[in-house]
Amino acid sequence: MLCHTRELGGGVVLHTVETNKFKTDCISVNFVMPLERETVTRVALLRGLLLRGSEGYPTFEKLSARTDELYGADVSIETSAFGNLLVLSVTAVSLAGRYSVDGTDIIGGVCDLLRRICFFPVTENGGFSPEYTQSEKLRLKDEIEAKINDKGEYAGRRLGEIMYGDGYGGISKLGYAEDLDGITATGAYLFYRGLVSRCPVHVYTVGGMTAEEAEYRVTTIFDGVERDCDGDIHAIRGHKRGVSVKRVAEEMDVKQGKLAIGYRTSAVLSDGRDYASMLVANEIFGSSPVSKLFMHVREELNLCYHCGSAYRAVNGAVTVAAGIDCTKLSIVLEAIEEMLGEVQRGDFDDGELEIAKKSIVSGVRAGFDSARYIISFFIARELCGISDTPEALVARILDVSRDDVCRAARELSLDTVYFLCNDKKAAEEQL
Amino acid sequence: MSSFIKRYDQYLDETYYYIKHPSGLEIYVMPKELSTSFAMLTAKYGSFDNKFAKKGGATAVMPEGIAHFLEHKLFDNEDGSDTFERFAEMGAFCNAYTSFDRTAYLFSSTEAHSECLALLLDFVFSPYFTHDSVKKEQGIIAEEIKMGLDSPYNRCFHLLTRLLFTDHPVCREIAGTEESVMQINREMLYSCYETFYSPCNMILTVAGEFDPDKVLSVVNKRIPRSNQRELPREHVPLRRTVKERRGSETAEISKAIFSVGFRDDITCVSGLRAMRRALSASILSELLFGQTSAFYGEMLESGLADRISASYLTCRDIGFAYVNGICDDPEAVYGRVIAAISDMKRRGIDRDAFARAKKGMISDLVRSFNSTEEMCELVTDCAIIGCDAFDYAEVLRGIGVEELEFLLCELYDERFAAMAVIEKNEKSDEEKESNI
Repeated sequence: MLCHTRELGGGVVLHTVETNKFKTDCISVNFVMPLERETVTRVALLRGLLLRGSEGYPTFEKLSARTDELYGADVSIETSAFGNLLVLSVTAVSLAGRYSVDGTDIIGGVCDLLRRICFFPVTENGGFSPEYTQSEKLRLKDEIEAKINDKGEYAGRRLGEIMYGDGYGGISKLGYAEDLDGITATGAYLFYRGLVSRCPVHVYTVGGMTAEEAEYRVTTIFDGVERDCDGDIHAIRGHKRGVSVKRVAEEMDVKQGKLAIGYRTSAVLSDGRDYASMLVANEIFGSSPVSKLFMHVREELNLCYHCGSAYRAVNGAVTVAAGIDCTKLSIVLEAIEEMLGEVQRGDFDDGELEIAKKSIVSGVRAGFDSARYIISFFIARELCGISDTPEALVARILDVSRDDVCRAARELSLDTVYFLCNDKKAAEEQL
Repeated sequence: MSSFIKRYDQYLDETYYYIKHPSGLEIYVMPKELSTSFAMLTAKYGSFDNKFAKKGGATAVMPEGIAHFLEHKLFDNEDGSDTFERFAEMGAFCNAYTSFDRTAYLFSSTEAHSECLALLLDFVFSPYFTHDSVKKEQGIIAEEIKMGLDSPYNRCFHLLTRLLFTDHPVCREIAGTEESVMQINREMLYSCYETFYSPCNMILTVAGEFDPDKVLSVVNKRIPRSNQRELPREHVPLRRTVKERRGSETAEISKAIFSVGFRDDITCVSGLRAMRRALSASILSELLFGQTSAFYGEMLESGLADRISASYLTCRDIGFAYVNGICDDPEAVYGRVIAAISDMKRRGIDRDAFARAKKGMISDLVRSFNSTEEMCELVTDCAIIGCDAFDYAEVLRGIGVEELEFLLCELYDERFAAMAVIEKNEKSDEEKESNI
């Protein structure tokens, strides 16, 4: 699958993936900036604020009514962290023009709406609307505090915070409740203006549009927008390793203990071959229903319902998550360590290796049935400053040998063990 | 092509092939050019079916959670092979889930699609349960149940169903309880399997790189042609009443989670009328509480509630509309929910908003054809109520505003409303502070 790239000037780069497999067009406008503790809350606030109202559609209700008129176009704003970078994405998914039966120019309408949402929000006296700002601050505060509601996710977040400390990996992309008080409607607006005029922008289109058509359409999003871009920025390599292993237990009213473990690796997305090896090592270790963690910890020892691992290739980490009986922590920890040892020693048969590779390759191919996956694939590589295609990635995965897997697994070093449970004292004895 | 019925929809630009296999199995094949192919084999057997008449007439009452337990155990094979691994060898991924009215077994594949289909039929139609394997699964499922109890949103939903339906199995947890799964044994599993896993109680939907004739030949080799029979499902007559109007529990969360529900009076459980009612109720829920509604705007501006979502759920003989969110003062929000309904009853439904909401739903329909998985889900959903997914758009277009106004009065009747709340656990806050 090809991604056609073209500079539109002013620090805006257009990437087009032309495909007729979807009934929808997807346009995603991505503002790229450094991920910083000082500014992350203000960026998070923009997600809600920019959707509250724009020139021509001054309320959320009117904006939503407009998206409905455009055949249920879906406009969303989110932030994502890529190592030391933060990306603010404004994404619209809308039906392809052929589904319009009343002559509505869907894609034209969507581009006009993206332009208004990104660059022409409702303002008052040189700032955002004070009323909207206040309301969005409260909503963001609620969102930040609601992090405790999902206990499994909460454990994963706490793991990141403990693992990376003050480093960028520990920064919460939702921001910090204590920073909200200092944000004013005017301050937020000035910050936003600087951001949308200076940040490099990567626009992705996925759908029936050709590169020429996409250029014509996307250019209209930037009509009348002044840009003064500082130049492109890229993600830097992963984190330094910690000196000693951190073991933390915390207490909450939970029925089931939530275990989260973090290992460091120096293999990151931009290391073509090492990245592929780590993908395969992680797959064998814990990333599928035939992995060692699933087969041993769940199926043989019956210690949990879920126990799996994930490779965080931008930050250089492999994390393990499991929901377990609070009294069985030490047995589970031992079993996980034993399974990692097996991967490190090459204690898996050729069948397991082949299955792991097939599973990853299938996952990549399946991902290309989703416009959002396609964008995330290409933007992650763009931000890391590498060019890659799914076909080349598949070839590298198929090329991974048994030795490559063992080497990748041996390179993992335990960094943090975090346990959320209902009895902290008892857990600490088992950690 | 053998006796498949072919249907093409011009607007969607999609085709399906349908056949009722001599065994009674309903088969839908949807050719589609995507990287992933998908198949779903669904038994019309879920957590609702705990009671049934055995051969000879006696009533069997099974422990709660048995349908879900059976789903887990069907993955075991007599030769000791691992079902996940057999799919993984072909680069495919298989899974299953149990809901109120069904158990679905599915896979997604990027190659060897027919072989995967054969494997799916093989494992679902070859039950193999032992005392040891049942015992082992009890531990795993107990952890799954505990995981559910740690989700306040799940708990709120279940609390609401318990308030609205004291007389129906919808109020029971799909996975059962830690106690009920301990009562499950091998014989019970076989008994449920024999009763409900008959091809005539099942639907197969496949989408992707599949050829109808080839699918049929895979099925022919694995499923006996006969075996059609009536299912001994228990039918409890229902009376539309809601006894308890409020229910609450606590959890360690940031703010209260609420769910206001309105119990529907279902008189028609299948066919186009059932589809029409479900679609009408969905439009109504969008108009009352969706993002373009006055209620949503009011909540956003007043800050009274946030994360609002609303929907309509129907399954066999039950249905209810609900609106969820987080807030500080659930009673105040409840008041606004009722006010929004009264307001719409008084003013009538806005014609433009109605037209927009329909457009949005058409869009959702078209989008589901971007994914072989969603295609199979949609077609299965429709098949379960005896409808055709390709009638969906037509039924939607045919819904009129007067009909919706009538439904508004009938469905959103406060006498049949209840509110479930998961309150913030204040005590644990104090404890935490004392620790610091």
